[in-house]
Amino acid sequence: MTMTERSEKPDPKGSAVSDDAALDLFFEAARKTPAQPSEALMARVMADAMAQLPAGRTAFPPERKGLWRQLSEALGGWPALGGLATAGIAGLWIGISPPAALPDLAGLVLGTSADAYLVDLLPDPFSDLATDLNEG
Amino acid sequence: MPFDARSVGSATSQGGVDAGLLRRFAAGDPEAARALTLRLTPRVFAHAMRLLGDRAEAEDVTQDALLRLWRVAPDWREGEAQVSTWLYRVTANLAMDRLRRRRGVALDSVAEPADDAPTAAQSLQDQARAGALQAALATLPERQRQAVVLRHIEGLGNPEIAGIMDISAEAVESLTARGKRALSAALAGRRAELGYDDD
Repeated sequence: MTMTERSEKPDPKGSAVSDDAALDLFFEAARKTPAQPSEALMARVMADAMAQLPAGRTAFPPERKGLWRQLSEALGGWPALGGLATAGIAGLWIGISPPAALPDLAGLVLGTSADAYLVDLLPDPFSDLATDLNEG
Repeated sequence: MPFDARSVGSATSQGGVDAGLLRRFAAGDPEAARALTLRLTPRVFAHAMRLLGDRAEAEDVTQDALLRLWRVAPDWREGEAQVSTWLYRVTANLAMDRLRRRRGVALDSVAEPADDAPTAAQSLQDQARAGALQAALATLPERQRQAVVLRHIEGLGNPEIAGIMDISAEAVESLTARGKRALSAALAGRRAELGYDDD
């Protein structure tokens, strides 16, 4: 409808088509030059966002921690766990085949050797349970 | 910071990113707050400037519009609307309130858009044309201005504009057609000066 009206009028400024094309140049220029927000505005918007942020965890972990990870972190992470594992394995090894210098504790407790000794592992200066019992 | 939403992925993927960030914001993630601020502030501000032509008012409208978004975030229902659509609507409503309050104020007192330092990609001619267009937009009735800006600068389709402006797609067509005729007339006197006839 409007195109017909336009073509019936004498149009010294050009056809409707070139009007549209001309406008497109202006629109394109506008698209290429958006007004930029100031740093001050960015800061105000950020402050509002932080103030409105719903209560939640301050650190936002990517996934829930499993029990194992919580335990290992409580113990000091993998370096500590490595030491713990090493100590555990060493203890197990010593217990299974003790070096000659160490008494065979398992034998003492379980009574596999011929002589059974009652050993007071925490000597009390005021009483000597082992001596009491051995002497009757 | 230069930011052209259309240069970074499609509108749909943009909307998906915005919605995801808003969900994380609602869950209390400060990184999402930062990311949303950086992504959305330039887009809202640019649109507010096109509607208002005044930097101080555009800044107020921008801060106000985004404050409303932060407040609505916990109740945001994904899939119902795009974040950008919602923001266009809120920004325009706030801008229109100010424009109506401004009515009767001489156009001379409306500040020209601030001279943002042109980047290497922006020619002086672009700046001049954009400034002329902004001045011409200021002469349009508010609804024609909004329709033309949404259609020909923000690049939205008629259905989305209809949703933003609460009118039919046909009404959008009518507004943009009338707006473009008015712009052509307003710009006619400045064509030679702006190098239009050389192209």
